[in-house]
Amino acid sequence: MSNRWETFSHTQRNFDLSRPVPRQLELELITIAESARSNLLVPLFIKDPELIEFIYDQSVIPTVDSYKLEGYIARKNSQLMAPMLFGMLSYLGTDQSTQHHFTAGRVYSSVGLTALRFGCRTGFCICFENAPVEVELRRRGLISENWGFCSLPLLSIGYGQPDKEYNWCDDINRAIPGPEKQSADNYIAVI
Amino acid sequence: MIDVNQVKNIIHKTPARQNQVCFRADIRSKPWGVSVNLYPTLELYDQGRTVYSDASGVYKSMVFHTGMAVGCLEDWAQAQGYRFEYLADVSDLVRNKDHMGHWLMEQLEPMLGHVVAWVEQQRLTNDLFKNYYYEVGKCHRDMTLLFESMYNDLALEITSSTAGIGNMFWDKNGQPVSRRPQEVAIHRELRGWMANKLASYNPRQSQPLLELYDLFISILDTGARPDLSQAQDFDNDVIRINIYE
Repeated sequence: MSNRWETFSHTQRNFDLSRPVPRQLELELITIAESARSNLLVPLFIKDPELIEFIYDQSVIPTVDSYKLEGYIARKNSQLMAPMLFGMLSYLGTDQSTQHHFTAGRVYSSVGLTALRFGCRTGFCICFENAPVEVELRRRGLISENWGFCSLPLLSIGYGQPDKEYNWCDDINRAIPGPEKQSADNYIAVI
Repeated sequence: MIDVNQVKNIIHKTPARQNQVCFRADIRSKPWGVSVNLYPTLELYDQGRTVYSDASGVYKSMVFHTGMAVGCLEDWAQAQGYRFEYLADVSDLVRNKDHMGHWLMEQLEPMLGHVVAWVEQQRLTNDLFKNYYYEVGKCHRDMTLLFESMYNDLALEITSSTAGIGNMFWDKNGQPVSRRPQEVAIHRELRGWMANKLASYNPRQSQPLLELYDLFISILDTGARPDLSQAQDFDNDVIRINIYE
């Protein structure tokens, strides 16, 4: 049986851009995401390489987070350079409860796990400048005026480069290790 | 039997923001499967080293990743052929009384002996007992089944006096009267009893239960559905799920 729950990754720093996301997978992901469409959440799939590169250009790892990353160097987030980016955008007009962030989380996990079934890899990125990206999305007619990211990340989907580790960054020609997670015993109790 | 360590592993493997911890969780093995509570929190994220200018916004990110953990558990549970039940959506609980009944039953299970003793005491003193038992049976199906399995003589008595119970809802002129005030009175009494019993529990666990029960009583009393669209007090967010074998 697939172990996708154990391989579901927060980080994939390189993607094979010559390999698009399979059409069948794309259709399944659209079905999943559209089922969660509401007056507070709308799905967005981005495949345009030019737009994806624009978003990548808006991502610079904040220096305030530098202490978390051993061997920190200034860089953009290569996770965003993927064949497909997925995000749920929120309505900005009201002060929303946390409920729709929870709903979005369930959708992202469903989307990511479905991608894994097709052999794809996943990466998450919240470290990009929301404002210029939102302006660009509106300029292209992809979202309306009162919609934005609201603390929701972008999910990168695609096939990893076959001869490289997940943490290899082509743009800076080095591997960037991710932070180690705390032990499960520190926050999960079996009673 | 569902392996609680596997459930723990699924939760732990869920992708998290910067690989940090975004929630606490507790897992309980039950005769029917597994119960999991998840508590989004900023306390563990980044080991508290960062002071956020927008803690509320970052907290929503914690809730998002808690939702991801729930999504992963749901996907895994369904792949194993287990039934998955998500209990945190208050609006869903309110719309589905049977669902509320099962959830309420789950909370009362450790204290069931006290509930039965209270019911038996009421039985001899006033008709409220019959009304309560009937309403409990109607609204909380699982509780009735458990009562019946433990006290067969009580079940027989209720069955034989169904006609008498029906008359309790008609006035002296033979006109039907609303059950609602009696239902509300019963539930308010039970709510008071529950608050006393839960006084020694961790407020993080007991307070959401009591607040939900207040919400349920409020809807019974007024018939009005409360506005659930306002931002919640995020310190009290808790997500509960059950996974059934």
